[in-house]
Amino acid sequence: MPFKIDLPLIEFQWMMPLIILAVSGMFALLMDIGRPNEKNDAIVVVTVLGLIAAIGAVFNNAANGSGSTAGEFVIFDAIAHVGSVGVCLGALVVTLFSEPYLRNKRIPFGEFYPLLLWSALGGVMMVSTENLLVLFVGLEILSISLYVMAGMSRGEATSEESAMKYFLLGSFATCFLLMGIALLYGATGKLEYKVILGFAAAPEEETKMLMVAGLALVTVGLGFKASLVPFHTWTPDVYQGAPTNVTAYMATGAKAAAFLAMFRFVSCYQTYTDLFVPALTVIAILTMTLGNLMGLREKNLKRLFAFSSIANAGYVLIGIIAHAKVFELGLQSVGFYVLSYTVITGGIFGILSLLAKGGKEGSTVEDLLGLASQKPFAAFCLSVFILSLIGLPPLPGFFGKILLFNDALAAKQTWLAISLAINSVISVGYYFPILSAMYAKQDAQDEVAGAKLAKVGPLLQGTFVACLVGGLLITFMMSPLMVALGVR
Amino acid sequence: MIESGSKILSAIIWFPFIGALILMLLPKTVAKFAKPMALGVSLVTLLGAFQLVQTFKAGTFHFQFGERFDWMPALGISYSVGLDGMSLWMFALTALLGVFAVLVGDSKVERPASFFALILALETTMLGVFAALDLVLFYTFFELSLAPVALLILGWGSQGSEVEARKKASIRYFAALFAGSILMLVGIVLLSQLQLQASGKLSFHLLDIQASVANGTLWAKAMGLQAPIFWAFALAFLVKSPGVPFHSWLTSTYRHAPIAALVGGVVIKLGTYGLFRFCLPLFPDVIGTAVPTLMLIGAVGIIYGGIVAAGQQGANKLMAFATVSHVGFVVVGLFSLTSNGVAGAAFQQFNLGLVGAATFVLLSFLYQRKGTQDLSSFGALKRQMPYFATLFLLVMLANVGLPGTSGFVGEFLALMGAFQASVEGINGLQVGVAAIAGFGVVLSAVYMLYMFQKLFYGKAEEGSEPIKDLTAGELVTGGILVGLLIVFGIAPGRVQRDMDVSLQATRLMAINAVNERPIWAELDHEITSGENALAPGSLVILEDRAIATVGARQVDGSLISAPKLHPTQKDLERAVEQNELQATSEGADSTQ
Repeated sequence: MPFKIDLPLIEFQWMMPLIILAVSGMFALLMDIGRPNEKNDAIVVVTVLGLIAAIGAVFNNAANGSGSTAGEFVIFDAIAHVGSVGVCLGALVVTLFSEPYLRNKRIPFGEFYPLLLWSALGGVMMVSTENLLVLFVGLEILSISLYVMAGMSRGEATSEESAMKYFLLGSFATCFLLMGIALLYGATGKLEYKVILGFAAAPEEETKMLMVAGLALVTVGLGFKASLVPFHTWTPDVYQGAPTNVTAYMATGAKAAAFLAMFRFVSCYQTYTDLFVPALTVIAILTMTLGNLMGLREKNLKRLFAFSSIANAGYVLIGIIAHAKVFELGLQSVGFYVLSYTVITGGIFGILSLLAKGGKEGSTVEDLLGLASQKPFAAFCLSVFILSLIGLPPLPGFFGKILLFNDALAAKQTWLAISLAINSVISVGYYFPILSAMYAKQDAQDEVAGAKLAKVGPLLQGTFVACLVGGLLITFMMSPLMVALGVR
Repeated sequence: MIESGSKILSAIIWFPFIGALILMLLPKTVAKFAKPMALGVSLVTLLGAFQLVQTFKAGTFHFQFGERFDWMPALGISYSVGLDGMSLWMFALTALLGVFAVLVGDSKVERPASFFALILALETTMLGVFAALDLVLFYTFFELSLAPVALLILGWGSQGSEVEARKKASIRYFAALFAGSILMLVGIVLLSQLQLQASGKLSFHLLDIQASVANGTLWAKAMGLQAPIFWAFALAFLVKSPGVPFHSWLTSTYRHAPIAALVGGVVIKLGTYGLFRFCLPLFPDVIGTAVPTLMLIGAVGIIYGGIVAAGQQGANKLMAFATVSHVGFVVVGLFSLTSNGVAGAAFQQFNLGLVGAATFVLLSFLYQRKGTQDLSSFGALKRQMPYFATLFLLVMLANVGLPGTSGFVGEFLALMGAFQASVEGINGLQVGVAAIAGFGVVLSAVYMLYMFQKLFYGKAEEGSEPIKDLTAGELVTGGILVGLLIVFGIAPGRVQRDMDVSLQATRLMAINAVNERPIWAELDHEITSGENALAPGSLVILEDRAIATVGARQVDGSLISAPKLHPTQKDLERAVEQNELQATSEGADSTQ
């Protein structure tokens, strides 16, 4: 009798986002080999088109409802749609401002774009699966690309340090994830969430320890990528050292993937929810509070936004906790928060990329001194983005916070809501000085003290407009957007 | 529920903002026309507001000029605006002061287009606060008003303030007010969830929520939440007002903000408005227990603000503490929860905007001449500036609250309410609190006379150049404001009448039992006669402010069948007395 393997049926139309990202990445790499005169323009075009096509494919999938393929290795539901759009949107914003930045920084390597696309591919895989192994593969594709990109500015010691730190700590965290996966496999004999979920729903005494430890370790592994306290220590150093566009992608696309993957995973807790929710609540409060408090003392802009992203991770965790507690809650708030945060933060890093000129890069708050007088539109955009992060209505950040308040209160987690409120106030302490630095009437010599700013070309101008309009559009079209992505 | 309504109210609210956008987009070469253009925009806005006052239908506490459309249906957030008797006049006042804010703005300021654009944007946010009927929309305007003021302090500042000091002042302003109101946002979201439980429909609309409060369904299952949410709201408004001990942001803001922002800044009065609009109607079951604390905050504010004001060297700082003291009167009158007290508090709030603006407009004339706010660098101005001295004298008297000026009406009624409430011991009030508050009237005379003396008598600073008196334009600007102070002082009639209907209804929402609370509705303006003209539930006010709903009595006032909406036994008896001639004996019986 011949040995026979049942190959699962693969419905390629569902897999289009993944396929588009993989193929456009390969295409971009081929173009890099044959590129004329170190010009990346064609590669940028391919990357942008690839990402837009991938986003389009996600919306197309969402229009067809939800489904799974490849033997349920890949699942396309609302969580996957939201997460995929978040990841691709992050990569898209980053691509838009990368080329001028890399040129100003004198590191115009074409490899960046294929790496970015593949990293996005990993992110999309992470959010579109209910299989621990696929989750792991996705996470690794995302991470390994990021390790390389973080060290792209080879001339700078900080960039190399950043890559090294990220790699070492990332590998360490991956070990946790793997260990968790192994324990869950040991307890259940399967890697699918729905099996694990079943075991967690009806716990058996002998596997209980394995289950708890496994669930905890997988949460830790994802928490590292999302930079939750106490797994956040890599964030400021890596954000500071990596090139600004890579930092931007870490803060937006990579985070989106981590959050949505975590969002999906927490439904495995089942009967252990009462054990994990208090723990996650403590982590959420710690994450937002420590992130904000440490941000207060920070003068370096990239580190400052690293702490800001830690704090925001704490905010998003509220939605995830609400989801763990009440299954119906959370996706709208987490989805909206992730999407709007991606656009806003992408825009902020786009403006910070102006600080790089002639191979040098300014990075302190004082370097923004001249922005309002030299680049009034960029300054205006930056102030809108910052006010959005503070949570001033009617900007995206405000509605994100309203949604999170709503979920926290509906899930009876009043302390999380109050903690979010207090933390929003603390964050004014480090966001607002950025506004002061730009807009306070300066003496003549101060203007000179600000860093030399890069030229704002049409691509950068377009990025700013896109982020500004995109952020407002996501906000005011929230309901139709969420419906289009299959959220309720 | 009116789905669309006329768009006139929205047009007025957003007109200054559109003007601001156009100013920002103009090329730099026409920047010198920024001031006249801004003036034109604010004048048109004022005309629009005047039109609203003209067409406003008196005699009902319902909202008029209502507009409502779903903004974010999934969240239950709507864009809803409308005006009642009280907000109408605050709205009109804001539009009026918007004109003066532009007038006192220095046309030679750096980046004039941005400067005047921010002043106009500020006007839109404030108009929006007074008109918003959706809690999230209200919060939006309430918080949005922070941005223009913070930017005005940062980018322009007042005469002689240093960059570092301005940075500190602006972050202090922003952070303090943001911190004050963020818990209110949590409260707002909680209210909407309770509303969802009570009515099955997600809504942030004030009218929906108030209706659920009035029939008791909203708080039925969540009585324990009422006090925390009430205090979250009260905190936000007390910080903004500001009440003691939340006033510390005000001094640095007054010191460093450009004067135009302060003139346009009924900003300060947004807080007390919130107390009227939200704290009274939405939390009827806990307001009684909160009254002693709030009265104390008010009384302490009156005294503390008055005493500290008398020791200030800077004119703006003196005015900051004077504001703290004046706001104290509003709080004391409001939380006496008597009809006189509430009426007085509302009029005092209206008057505060007017008097404050008049004072700042006059002070701005001085600052422009001398470039400092320090009282000690002025002196003997009476001889040099006789016209100015005359105007300032009148404004000072209005500040003190002399009969015949608008300051008197509000203060007197507010204090009367406080005494009534405390003599009757309503809500456990002590007479002492009212007595302390009354003493504040004396203090206002002390600090205002002190300022007047410093400015106009004594010796001029040695070696200082003589100061020119007001130009004709300045005289007209100041004269109009001072004239208004006197007009509203002698004849508060229309303002007070319009406000009163709304206020008494609001008051009954706070003190009546479930199902006896009036319920807000939107009035369709197209219908001029018939039931909608005086809808059931509209209040009719008797001479002595005792009231009944139309539903409970005939419109001609001939019979009180069941005036169950009467708040206190005393009011009730008085109302019955008045109608004794017509009232049948069974009518009188049913009041018992």
